[in-house]
Amino acid sequence: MMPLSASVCKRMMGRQTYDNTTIMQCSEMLTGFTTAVIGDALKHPTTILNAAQIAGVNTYDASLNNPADAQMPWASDEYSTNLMQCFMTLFNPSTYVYDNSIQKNFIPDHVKRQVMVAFADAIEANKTIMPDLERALTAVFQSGTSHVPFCPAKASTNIKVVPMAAHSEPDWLHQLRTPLAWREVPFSVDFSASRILRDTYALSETDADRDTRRIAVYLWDAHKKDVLPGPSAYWSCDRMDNAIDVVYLMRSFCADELDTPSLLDATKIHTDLHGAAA
Amino acid sequence: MDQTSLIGFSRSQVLDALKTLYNTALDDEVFLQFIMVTQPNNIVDATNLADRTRVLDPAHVSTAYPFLMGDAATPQDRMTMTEYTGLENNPNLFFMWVLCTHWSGGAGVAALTGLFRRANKTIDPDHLSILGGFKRQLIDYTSMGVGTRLLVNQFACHKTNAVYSNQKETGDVMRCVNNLQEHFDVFNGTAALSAQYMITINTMIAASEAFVKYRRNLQVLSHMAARDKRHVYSKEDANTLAAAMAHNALTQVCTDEDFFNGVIKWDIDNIRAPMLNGLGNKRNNFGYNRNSTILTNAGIAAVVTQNTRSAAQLIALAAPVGPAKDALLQACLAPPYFDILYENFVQEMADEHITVKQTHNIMMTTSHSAGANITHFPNYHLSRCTPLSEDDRNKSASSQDDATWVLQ
Repeated sequence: MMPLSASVCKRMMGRQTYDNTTIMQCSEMLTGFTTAVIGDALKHPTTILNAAQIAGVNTYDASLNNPADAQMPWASDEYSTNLMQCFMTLFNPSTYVYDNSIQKNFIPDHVKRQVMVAFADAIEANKTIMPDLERALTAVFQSGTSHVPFCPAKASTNIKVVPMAAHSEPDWLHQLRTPLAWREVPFSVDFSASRILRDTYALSETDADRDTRRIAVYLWDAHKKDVLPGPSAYWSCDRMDNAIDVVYLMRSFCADELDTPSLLDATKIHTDLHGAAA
Repeated sequence: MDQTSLIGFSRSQVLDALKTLYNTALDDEVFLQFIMVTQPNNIVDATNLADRTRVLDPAHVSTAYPFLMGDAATPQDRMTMTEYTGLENNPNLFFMWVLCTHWSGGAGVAALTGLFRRANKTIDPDHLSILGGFKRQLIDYTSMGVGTRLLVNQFACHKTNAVYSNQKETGDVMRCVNNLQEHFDVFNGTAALSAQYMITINTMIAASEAFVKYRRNLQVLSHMAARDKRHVYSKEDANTLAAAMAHNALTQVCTDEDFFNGVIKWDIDNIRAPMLNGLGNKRNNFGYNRNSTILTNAGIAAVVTQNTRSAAQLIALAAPVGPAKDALLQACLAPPYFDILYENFVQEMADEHITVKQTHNIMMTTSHSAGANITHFPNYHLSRCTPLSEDDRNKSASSQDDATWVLQ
């Protein structure tokens, strides 16, 4: 799979203006919910409907609202993108949709050929991104005045885990500094029966109370792939109001990469499979 | 001049009076007793959750907001809550808040005079007039509903046993919320009229609370490290810790049941149905589908009275229905804040902004679904994929292998 640059995404996710009937029929095709009353379902184009008829069927798509209403509904965003309408020109059985959509999504044959050649070249060169491929993909879609939200970021492959506790203080600092492969990041670091660490603390908790509370706590040491009993662990903060008693691990983007845009660098598509593009 | 009037005083005079009062009150044992000691009907049993939550109940926070009002009490004389708490360089506004609502109470002038007498200070007559001019306006923030309950629960459950700490942090959160409301021009008024903006306001409350929690956690960490001389964090470690603390605070707030009810579920329960049935106000939808034409004149008058921005707007209200009045209503009633928020969101998504990445991290933990939230992240998984190998031929979409076909 190819990483998509921001410019390509903007073209793909670009919005065009379509009438509400087109949007409704696109929604019907993908969701299976019809907006037509019984008996009118096969009429073409879809009978003009009011919002009350949609209500109770599918609240999300029902926000398409009354076609007579000029307000921009939420759901229409998703059905108005170049990518979605491109799909609709090929697969929506309604000629009404096709007639409306093809005007803005016609792809000439030479552009299609250009895309295929660019893909073949990329596979042959074994690179996930090439300038020709980006140019060809950009040429497929018309530019729109606006686009739906998208984020071209790539997930972090290594993530630093802030440990709640560790076997020792040096161990705690070592874990803080040592990233884990994303596959190794645990879903939960504590698996005590009562999830006691997230419970309410007693306001008058003493040190003894705290130690008692931690007897039932077991922690998963992801670096050592081992269980760590609460009482014998080193806790970074040992007061009642400690800051690391509740830990939610990052799964998508690690702390180091939060404010750094991803680089769309070319990597290998395949493991040097000869003749793969043939 | 009327002894307790704000009319005729400038804004800087009012602030001067507040600062003087603040500095005097801080040295006053009676006042500190009021602030720091349990109030009657407030906390009975510190180990009882219900009693602890009462900290925020009538005594200090919720029943009344002070508004600066002249005796005439015309809207022009009134300082809005946003102005009141949103200014930089003000005295500690939480103290002021407490002071106005409960310290001075009905016998404001007497209490103030006593305060200055105990400090062996002479109160400036102008200051007395200004401070006595503080009056209560009953706006029940508790009926803001979920947002306040969220605060109550969070502070009751996660804070230390210092009552003062609860009050201080509650005040911090409220100030953050009001600053956000002012910044984004989100309506700020009575509960009934704010109901249409509850999702946004609740979101801002949650964000503010997360920020206060994050700040407090960093304070604890740095304090512990310095006190025990145990850790010497490198800059990189500190950055990692700070990012993790921010992630923790936001995720904790987002996993709260009140956040679910007040932001996520609120939309389903309170917004969609009336909108779809054509009975409700389209502004309900985050203010996005705003439509002022279905408001009644009575509603308009009420809102503008509560949220007056200038006397000119009040005058314009008297104008007959028409484009000018519509424009005014758009400005007063339904600021297009959501349009602006949405534009920012789209831009920050495209820029891979830090807020987007933080949000994604939180959603991966809280949504219990990895699929639904990556649809707008086309490259998300690429970095975690390995190149295709010979073995993958059998698993491809064109595979003739039966098991592969079934799965696909």
